[in-house]
Amino acid sequence: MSRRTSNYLYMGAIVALLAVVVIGLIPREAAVETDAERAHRIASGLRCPFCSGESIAEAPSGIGSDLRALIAEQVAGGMSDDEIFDYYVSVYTERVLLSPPLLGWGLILWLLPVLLLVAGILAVLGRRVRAGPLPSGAVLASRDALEDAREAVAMDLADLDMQEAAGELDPATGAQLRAAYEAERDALAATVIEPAADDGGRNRSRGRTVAGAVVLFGGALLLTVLVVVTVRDRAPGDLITGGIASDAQQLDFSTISNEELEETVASHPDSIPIRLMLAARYFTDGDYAAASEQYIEVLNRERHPEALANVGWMLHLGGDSASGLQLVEESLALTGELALPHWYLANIRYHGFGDAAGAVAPLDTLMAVETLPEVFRSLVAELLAEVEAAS
Amino acid sequence: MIAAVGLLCVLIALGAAGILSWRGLAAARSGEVNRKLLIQPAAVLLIAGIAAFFWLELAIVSHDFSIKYVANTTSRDTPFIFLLASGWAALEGSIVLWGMLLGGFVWFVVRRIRDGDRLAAGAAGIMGLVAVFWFGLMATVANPFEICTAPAVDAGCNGSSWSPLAAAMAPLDGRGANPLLQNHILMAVHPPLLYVGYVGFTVPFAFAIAALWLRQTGSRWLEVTHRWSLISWVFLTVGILLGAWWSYEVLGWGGYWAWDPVENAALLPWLVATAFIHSAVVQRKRGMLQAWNIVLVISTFALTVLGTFLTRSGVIFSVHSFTQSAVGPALLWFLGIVVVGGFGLFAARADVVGSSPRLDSLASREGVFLANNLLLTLFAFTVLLGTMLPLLVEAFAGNQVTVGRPFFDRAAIPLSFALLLAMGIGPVVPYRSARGEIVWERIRPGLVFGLGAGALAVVGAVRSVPVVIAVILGGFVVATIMRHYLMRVVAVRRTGVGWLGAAGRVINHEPSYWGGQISHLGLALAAVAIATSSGIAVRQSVTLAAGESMVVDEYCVEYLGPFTRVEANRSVTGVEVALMRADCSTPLKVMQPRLNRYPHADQAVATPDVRTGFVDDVYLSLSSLTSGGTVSFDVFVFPLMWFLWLGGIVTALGGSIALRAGRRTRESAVELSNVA
Repeated sequence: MSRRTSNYLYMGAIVALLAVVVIGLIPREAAVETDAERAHRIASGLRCPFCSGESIAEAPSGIGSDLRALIAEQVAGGMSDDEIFDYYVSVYTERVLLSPPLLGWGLILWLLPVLLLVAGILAVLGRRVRAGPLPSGAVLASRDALEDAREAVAMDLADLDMQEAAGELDPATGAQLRAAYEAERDALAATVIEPAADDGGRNRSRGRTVAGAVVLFGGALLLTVLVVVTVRDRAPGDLITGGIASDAQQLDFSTISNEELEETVASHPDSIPIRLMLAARYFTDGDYAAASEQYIEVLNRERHPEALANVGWMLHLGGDSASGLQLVEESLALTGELALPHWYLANIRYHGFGDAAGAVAPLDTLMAVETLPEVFRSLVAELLAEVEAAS
Repeated sequence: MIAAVGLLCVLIALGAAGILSWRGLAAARSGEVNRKLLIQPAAVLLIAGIAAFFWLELAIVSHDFSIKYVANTTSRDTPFIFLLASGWAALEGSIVLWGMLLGGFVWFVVRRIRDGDRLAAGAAGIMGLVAVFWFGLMATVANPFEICTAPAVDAGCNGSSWSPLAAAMAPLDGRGANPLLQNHILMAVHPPLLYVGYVGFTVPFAFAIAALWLRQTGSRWLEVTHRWSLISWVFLTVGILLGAWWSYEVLGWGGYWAWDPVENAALLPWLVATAFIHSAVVQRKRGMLQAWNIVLVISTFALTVLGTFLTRSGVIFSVHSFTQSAVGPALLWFLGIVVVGGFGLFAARADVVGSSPRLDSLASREGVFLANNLLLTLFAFTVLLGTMLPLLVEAFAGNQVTVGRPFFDRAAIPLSFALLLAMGIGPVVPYRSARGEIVWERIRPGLVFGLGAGALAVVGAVRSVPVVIAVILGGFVVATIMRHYLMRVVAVRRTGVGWLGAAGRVINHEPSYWGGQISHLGLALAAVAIATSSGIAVRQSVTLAAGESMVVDEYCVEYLGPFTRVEANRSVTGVEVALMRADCSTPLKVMQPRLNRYPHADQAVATPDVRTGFVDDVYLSLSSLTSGGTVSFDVFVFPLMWFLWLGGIVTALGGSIALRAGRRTRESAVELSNVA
């Protein structure tokens, strides 16, 4: 078979197979997304709150499957994609969006890699290609460099022989390269080290290297300084910060309205005590939506036992006793000193799971607390009597 | 007493590291390198490092709860194997392991120093400085031998003192090992492997810095560190692979890679190191890319420090949480010094790193190498940006945001396709200036094979475009490499060698090249598996009562019933599910997805059950057991998953084969070419 025929055969095979692939992949009917597919796509774009970083679509926990069910309901109920995403952002903040926005800070994310790609392509295309032999007497920085260069050109010539024998190079190109390498070899053989001398070509290349190095150095310096400076803790004098968290609880906040507290947490998002206070106010007022929002902010920063217990209780009230129980248990694992989590635990076990026997232990713990307010104690005693009768 | 001895080991190692760096740098500066003067502190460093590590293990195994680390990471009922693993599973212990490994690398480098070798002495000095940092951490803010002074009422330790002479108050029991660690032995194995990779990159970094400092920027530092870079790369590859496998087999979310910052922290140095291994070939072969190689080596090392910072400082949970331990800021400063110092020195030595233009044409192997480096660097940069930007946004603007799978996937998929294409074409493109016909002749069989595989997939009803592209490119890479190899084997066979002999001889003559090709084969396999397991996987949530069954994809699952049992270190609640063919009568396996509960831990660890098959994996993950007697679980069907594990192993194997190449032996190459 001649060279030409085999070439045509290959071309034919490639075109035919490519056609099979392309025709096969053209959608026959306009693809209609089923509700399940749509729900899965939306769930993949939302981060599961209270999970360890997975999307709602992936999260194996009970909360994950609850939210998946909720999304399926929302899809079935005819909400648009944007409405569903907006709903989750309003409940859990922007943090639930796994896909960064196309505007604002997200722009950096989408744009910088593209810019780098363009710069990289330009840099590769702009690499100087050897134009003829290196000038004789080219200056090399050191004896090492000279030896390296001599070894490299010897290797080039040997490899060139091999490549020509294997027919890898055009004869004309090969001859041209050989001439260049031989000239370089001769030039290097005649070179002596003269560190002070210079020539235009090398100068320009050096200038570019210096410029690149300075940019790299400067960028690294700037970034390091910025990160170190910004990430450091804020000064204690700065109204309410993490630095004086323990003092914050002793101040009198009774004259401060919820709105003012909202402003404070907005300007100091990491102040956990203030958030807890605000959340507790909403929680006592029965405004569970607002309370959850604040508690979730707290939990995003710290697994705080009070927040865990109250969110657990709200989940239980909202019908998801399993997830609620999980959070209350986590709270109790962190500290047994808060009274309410024991109360929640007993109630969730008893009312949520019908587990009267399991409710006895936490209630006993509460009864043993001497400082328990009398009103609360009577409630506990009442429930204790009920569950003991039931079990 | 144990604490005092342990801390003493750490201090001795710190002193030895200080002496080593002083002597190494002084010798490199003066040129009077005396091997004996360097080998003494290196030996002390290694022995003290090993002693500190084993001393910590001894404290753990003997349940010495007067040491805070022991009290807070183990307990009396922790099984022995996990006691051992606890030695490196938490922050302080992991730094001790790190120090010991670094001591080992220092020893191997110093052992080979010859009198008068300034470059190696300088590198030993730099490695000594790095060791000063790590042992300094152990001696100050991350002291693993802190004494417990305030035991918790039940178990564990709430307060501690640095001084080993403080009055110890040991708790009755410890807090127990991390449940995730106890859940699977892989969690004990995979971090140390990653550490070997991380620590190993200290060697090329030290040599590059020494070469810059001493103005010896020729290719010698590259020749000397070639082995170390490859060893580190192989360990990093295996570490990442095992991490992915652990995630798949143990965490119940049905995947192996979540673009989690901790995973990215391991991927970043791997990507840049991969770029370095390729660009080093260009410098060794053609004398190009001198400056670029130094940039890549400094970046790789800086990324290993960044990775440690990300995983060990708590910064991921919130940028403000990392100051809770002094280790975070210390690592951040160290990173700053490495980046600013490294690139600063690079800038100061710019006059000696520029190489003369030796590129003959962009249409050549060198050109493809440049493209490969551009792609890998871009990949690393994008992952770095996606990992760091949420932290930066939180640090600067204060609001918490997330960058997740949608972004990473969108960036990684096209970059991976471009890399696969370069992987198929690059290795058969001649150096210098490629003749178009030659390249065409060499790639067209691979193209036909790849397109054929893609067409088969399409005919087999695969409709996912990324999967088909991955199959085409993967097939192209595999076929092109195999064709090239067979041509060589046939050529060698003509000299009268048997098939097997010829097959071995081809690789033996050029282990670097063929090792690389074997790695490429592995990556092509892995790429196909990654595409199929995400593009055409089946996922279904199933709720069944006992005795009910349901058909999912080509399988049928029947819920048999729940079970509970108590094992040595955990209590297990699970369900038995019979897996059958779609006819619901041919049994395949009884599967047991379960929840494991550990003492001292309240959260149960969900553990899936996987049936690995030739065509696909069936993966069951338990979500909930309701009181009404029904069970909810997720069923996943992942086609061709074993390609991923096999591909990963083959990739690491290729790296190990490349290790066998000492220096490039010209004679064998010439001999082979005469044969061809």
